[in-house]
Amino acid sequence: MKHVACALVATCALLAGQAQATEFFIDETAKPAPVADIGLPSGKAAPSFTLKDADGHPVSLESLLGKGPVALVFFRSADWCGYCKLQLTDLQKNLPEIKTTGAQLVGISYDPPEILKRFSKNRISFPLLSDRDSATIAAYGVLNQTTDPEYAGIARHSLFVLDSRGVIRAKLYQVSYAERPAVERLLAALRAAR
Amino acid sequence: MKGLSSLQLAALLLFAFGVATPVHAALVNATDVNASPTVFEAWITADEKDVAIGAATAHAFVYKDDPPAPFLPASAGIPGPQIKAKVGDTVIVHFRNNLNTEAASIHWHGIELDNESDGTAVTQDAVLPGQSYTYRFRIFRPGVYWYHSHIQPGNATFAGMYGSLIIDNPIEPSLRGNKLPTLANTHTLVLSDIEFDATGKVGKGDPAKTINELVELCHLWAEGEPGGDMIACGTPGSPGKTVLVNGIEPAVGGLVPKFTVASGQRVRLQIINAAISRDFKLRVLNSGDNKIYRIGGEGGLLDHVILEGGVKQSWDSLYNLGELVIGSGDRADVIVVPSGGQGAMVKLVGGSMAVPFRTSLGLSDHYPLAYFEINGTASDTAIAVGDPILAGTAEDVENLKGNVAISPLQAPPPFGGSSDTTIRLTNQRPDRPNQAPSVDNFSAMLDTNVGNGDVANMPRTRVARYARLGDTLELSVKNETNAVHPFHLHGFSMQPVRYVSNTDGSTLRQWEYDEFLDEIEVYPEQTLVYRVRLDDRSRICDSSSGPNTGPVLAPCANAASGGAVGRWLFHCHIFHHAGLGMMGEIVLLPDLTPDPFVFLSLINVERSTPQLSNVITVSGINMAVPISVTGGEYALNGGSFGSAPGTAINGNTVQLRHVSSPAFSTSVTTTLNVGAASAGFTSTTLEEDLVPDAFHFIDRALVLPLFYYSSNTVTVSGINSNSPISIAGGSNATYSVNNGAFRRTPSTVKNGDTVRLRNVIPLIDLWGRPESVSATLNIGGVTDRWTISLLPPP
Repeated sequence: MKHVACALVATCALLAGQAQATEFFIDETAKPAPVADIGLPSGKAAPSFTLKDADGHPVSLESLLGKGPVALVFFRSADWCGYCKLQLTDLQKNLPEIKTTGAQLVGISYDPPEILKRFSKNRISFPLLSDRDSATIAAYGVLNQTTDPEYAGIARHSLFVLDSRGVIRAKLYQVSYAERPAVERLLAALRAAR
Repeated sequence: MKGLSSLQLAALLLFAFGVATPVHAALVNATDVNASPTVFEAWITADEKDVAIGAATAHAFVYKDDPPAPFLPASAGIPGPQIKAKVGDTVIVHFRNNLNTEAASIHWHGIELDNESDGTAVTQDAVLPGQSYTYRFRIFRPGVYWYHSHIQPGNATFAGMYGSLIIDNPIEPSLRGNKLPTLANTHTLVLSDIEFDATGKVGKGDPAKTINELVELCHLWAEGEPGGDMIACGTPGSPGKTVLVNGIEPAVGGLVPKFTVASGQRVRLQIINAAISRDFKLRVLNSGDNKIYRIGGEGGLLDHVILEGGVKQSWDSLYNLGELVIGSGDRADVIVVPSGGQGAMVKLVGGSMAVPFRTSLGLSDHYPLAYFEINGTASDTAIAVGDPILAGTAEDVENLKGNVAISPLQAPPPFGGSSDTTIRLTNQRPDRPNQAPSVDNFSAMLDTNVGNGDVANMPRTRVARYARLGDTLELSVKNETNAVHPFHLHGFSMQPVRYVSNTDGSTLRQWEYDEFLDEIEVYPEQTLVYRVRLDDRSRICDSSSGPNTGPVLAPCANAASGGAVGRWLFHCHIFHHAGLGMMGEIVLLPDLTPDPFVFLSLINVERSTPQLSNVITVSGINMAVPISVTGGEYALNGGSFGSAPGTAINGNTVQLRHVSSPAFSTSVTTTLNVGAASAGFTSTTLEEDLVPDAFHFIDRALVLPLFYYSSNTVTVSGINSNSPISIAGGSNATYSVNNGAFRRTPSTVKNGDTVRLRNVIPLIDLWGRPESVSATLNIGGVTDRWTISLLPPP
């Protein structure tokens, strides 16, 4: 863990007010916002929903359950959020392997179906669901309430793993699924939820 | 010249042998597959390759020379193949991405090129693994450049995916051997660093986290998202552990890379900082003259030799005169003069910059970069500050700092942007949970798209600036953070004007000389003021038979203009800062609305005749635009007339043609549409004129009764249509038109017809009075009375 130690040295030096100009992230007056665990905790029943997919067809949580675990990927936007789009394309690349766990993969954002359609066409084969009023995002406790009005209604990025009965079994906060360890974590969570 | 003295001969021989010989430091050249001397065409593939770094092995990413058979590829490694071209050349590079998972591109850092070849996420789709893209551009500025990916480029660049690109000034060959060292004493040094874990994975720490992973973790923290990690934000201050010079770890024991050089020999080094964050503070040790003389860099050669460092006016560089600091992405063209006794070892070393201008933490002083072993002596003329290089030649560097007309930024379009000429580099973001590198307090995420058409979805952010082609702008870059930011502008070279204090607005340094740069350091609490002229350039489109797989190419037609239209990023060149959002863009909007043009109306034209307009010149556009015509025909550039739609570019001439109306007092209008502008050309036929000029029949006297007399012939004039003709008077009065039959009934005459009258004094009148008869001819209301009489004239 040499890298962490090194970075910590830099940060500590900054916080101690020594090399205040060498590292420009953390200045002493800024208080980083605490990032607590968010969303419904594991063990809780997942709130039900019926949302429109990119083609405007309704998809309910109940229709996804029963066959195996379900991964609900809450993402900010398939329009302006580059990281989210990369996450979704990474998941698409890993979809065959995710399917081997018997899992269903579903993305949820506040985007209208047209945006989801534009992005997913020829690119994403798993359902992307449109939560226009952010009610489902809020029900899972992942509504971002600190954003500026321009982005009101966006989800905090999070991935819930539900078992086939609809109970939350795990939460993951990884963005990139291009790297093998991240894929392994997701697969492990899905296998454990079977 | 008389014969050489033995001393001169010895000096010459020593000169001939006194060539700096590199040891394990030469770069491979990309294979030029094009036979044309003005086209450089290469095939470059992004690939993954295990590369020996010192005693260890790194899983590197490389750009490899990959020409089609029968060409043999140059050996692959770090850095990628060097490309050498000259001003005026066309460069074509067929790029293929053979990486396992990473998207990539090639950004030709600093080159002023066709927008479609800039290689960024706002100019092209990410080239996904297995896909390819062809870059095409013409070069018009010399200098030391480099290339790297611009699609989330942190991973690839840190893992070795970069290469050098050297563009010669056309007069450079004539300067070599006198003002400049010979080619044999000219070397490219690609400086960089790398770090990898025990498995060879490139990244920070052990096990290694890739740069993009760290950017994402920091980004999540900055956004207040779960899973974020503030520690990941510290990457820029922690440079890669292993320094690389041309892909080699400089080793003290092995003294590599090493150049053998005669004492006093001038050696030209074209230095590129390809590290993702490290600032290289360069210094020469152990030489008689330890100064690094800068002769040019990013925009080609300078007018005169200069020294960097020291205090310039009120601006303290915080390093010594004769040293040189280059930040991530910067380049310098320098001359060093190693000297000493036989076998002496002169060193080029790196060091640590002083706070608060330091980017990289934990650097030792005097870490080795290159060695120059002295062998023999050279008779080179000593170099001095102020020595002319381009001064006095036709290539003298242009001065934009003087009395140049400066244009404002354009008002942003409705979807957002800024017309503020001060670009603020910020860290605070009042509306976000945590700090992050940003421009105007906004983090614009513009360094990647997901490919396959996603470039069209790239957000248009509130920090974008809009400008017109051809304008010269004066922009400020205000550093409101406490770190140094190498400010990089794509597509256009900047001329630095001054550094200003953020505290009191005072000028710290007014640039003493003329130079064009694509990257300029902006220091904490300071503002850089620069000027840039937004020159247009040609568009060179992909005309190869095989389509590119994957990336969507915009419809494109080769054109002499319009290549500069598009989105051009600017950003801090510390990759982490750029990836986290210290990025924005200057957008050159296509101007499809020509300056107004006017066709003069024609009046009183003949009916049913061809009418030609005045010739107008299309101006004020920077792209080819559609041209069409309704109600007539047009001729482009003096060509033949026709009515089929076409395209027009700036400078084209247009003339319109139509046939005038067959009716009187009737207009015909031809409307020309050029892009978003249009104008009409109208001709109006003349009015109908039925009133002839006056005419006169000469009366006759002493006529005999019962004899028919004819009048003189008059020619009808002054009318342009058929005018009614009638005759009144005695029942014997008749008229004849054009020698036709005499008649009494009304008819019509036209201009040019001839008319004469006939009359007779009948017998019965002998008993009456008067002894004459008269007839009145009426043409269109104009009359004349013709009298014949028996009596003599009164």
